[in-house]
Amino acid sequence: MIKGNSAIIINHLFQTLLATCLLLLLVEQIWQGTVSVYINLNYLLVIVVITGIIDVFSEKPVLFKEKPTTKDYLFVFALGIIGFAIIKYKTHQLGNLSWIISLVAGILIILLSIMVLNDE
Amino acid sequence: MGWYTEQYKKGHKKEINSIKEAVSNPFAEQKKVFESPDQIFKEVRLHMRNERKIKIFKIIIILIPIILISFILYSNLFANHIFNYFYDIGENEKYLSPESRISSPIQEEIGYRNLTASLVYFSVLIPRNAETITVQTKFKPNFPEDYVFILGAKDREDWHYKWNQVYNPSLNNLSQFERIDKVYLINKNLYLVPYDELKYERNVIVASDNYYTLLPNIITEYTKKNTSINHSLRGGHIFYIYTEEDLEITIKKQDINWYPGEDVLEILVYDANENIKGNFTIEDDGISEVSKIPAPIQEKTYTIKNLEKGVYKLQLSNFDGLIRYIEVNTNKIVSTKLFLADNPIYSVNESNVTLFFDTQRPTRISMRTWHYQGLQNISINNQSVPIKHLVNATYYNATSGRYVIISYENDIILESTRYFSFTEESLFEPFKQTLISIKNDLEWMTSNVDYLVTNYKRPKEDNGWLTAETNFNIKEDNIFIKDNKINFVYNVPHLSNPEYANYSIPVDWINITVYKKGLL
Repeated sequence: MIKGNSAIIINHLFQTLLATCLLLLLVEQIWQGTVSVYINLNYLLVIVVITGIIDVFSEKPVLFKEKPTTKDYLFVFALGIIGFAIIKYKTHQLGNLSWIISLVAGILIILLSIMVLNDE
Repeated sequence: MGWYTEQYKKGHKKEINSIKEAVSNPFAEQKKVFESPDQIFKEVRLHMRNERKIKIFKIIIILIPIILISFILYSNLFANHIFNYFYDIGENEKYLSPESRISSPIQEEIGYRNLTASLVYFSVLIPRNAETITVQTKFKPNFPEDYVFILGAKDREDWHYKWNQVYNPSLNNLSQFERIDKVYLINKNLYLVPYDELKYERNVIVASDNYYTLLPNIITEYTKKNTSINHSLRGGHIFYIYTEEDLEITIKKQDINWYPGEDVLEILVYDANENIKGNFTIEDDGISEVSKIPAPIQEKTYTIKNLEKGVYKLQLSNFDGLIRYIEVNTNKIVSTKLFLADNPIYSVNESNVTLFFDTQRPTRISMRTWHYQGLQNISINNQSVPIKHLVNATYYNATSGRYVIISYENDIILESTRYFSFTEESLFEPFKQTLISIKNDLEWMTSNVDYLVTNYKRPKEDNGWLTAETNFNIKEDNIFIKDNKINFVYNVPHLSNPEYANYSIPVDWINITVYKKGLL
């Protein structure tokens, strides 16, 4: 079991790599070939998975949950809109169905995020 | 308390608070008891050191995405890059498809696979803004006489490729001709012009396998009246027509089902710039097995509306069957190659086919048959020309003038650099130049071609194997990129001829180099 400073560092490393990986995947989805030609994202994904597993088994300091603020809700709403836009962009060839899929996905992102925020 | 104040003054408020919290934290595993200020001081220093360490590590971790994103930005925007992909065909990796057209890996001194059918595909991942792509192929030249090896890069969403010659022995001696870039002067009575100016040269014959824009002629004798070709033609054909406004095409096809599989006839109409203006399909007759029973005749009429006045290409795809009838609502329709098939071998009654042919310069008409039923005498301007040989073409040397050709028994392929028509009125000159594909016969090209446009490079020989190289310019050649990949196809024309099925082509490796230019 990893404890103390190492646990904090692993947790930070996992979060940073996960965010980087997701961002690069998003960029690759929008501008195909901008990332995959230079970096094999599968390798990055393997590192993310490994750090994630280590992070799960490490002992982190207890964090006290704060009450969600308006800022958090605005952030969640923004994420929902971004999600909607990305899915609409990727499914635009489906015509009207694309609107339904992206709207449902956007609403799901917002509702699930609010649920997570309010989780006691 | 004095020590705490001092630490506060030094700006270590956070650390002091965290120590205080640690001391009083009811959730702590063990409550720490400090016996002296020195002990507290030590603890604070230790904690501060830890915090600093974590901060340093966090900064290092943050540097990872910054470096990655900077690298990707730099690579995409500024850096020149050369990407190299090496496909070892002899290994088990499946680079080529479909698998049915290649052999299993063969391990000899060199591991390789054989190309066993004419169209074999592979694709290459390319970066955004890539400029040029060079494909090297190591292969054994196991070709029948007069056949070549071609590589195509897909340049449209539909099945359309830009072709480059990989192996053509007749082009190995091109160095004897004057050249500017990829234009070779073959007819020494003319003068050499650069590629951009070549299309303005009138009444010349250009041989090229690359896309080449021909300037269309304006035909004053054109009228909108129906012209029908009521003769059987075998397989795919290309016609040039002159029309305007609504073009109405009627096609009748009949599958002969000599080979298993579906026989779909696709009809495409292109304008002079090779843009598709319309297409339609006549489906298979429902008999996909080999069958000698005469199949039903299928008919379809299609109209393309609002065409501008000009030359159009009517392309009928290759299929295992006969085109029994063509009707177009224009009086101008010609072709450079016709496979006449009014012959009992195709279960069609023999009928005399009269063709018209016109040339302003000496040229030759090639006549070839694959079957004994096609051996016959052809009448050319009342002169009898015997077709005595199978497979090998018989040539008729035509001087300038108009010719009337009569085929009595058909089952013959007539081909020339000039145009044939089925009625005298239909004959016309579609373009200011004549474009033909490069043939594996330099002697023929020397006497029939004025200019040759090719970027062919002579392959290097190594112990019976050849390494050939060909280039594509992604922008200039309008190479089609999908999912970040370019699709290539090896075309080995002789492998579509059952007679040469044993001439499979061993391929050892393919080496692809992609060059991407940066802004700097």
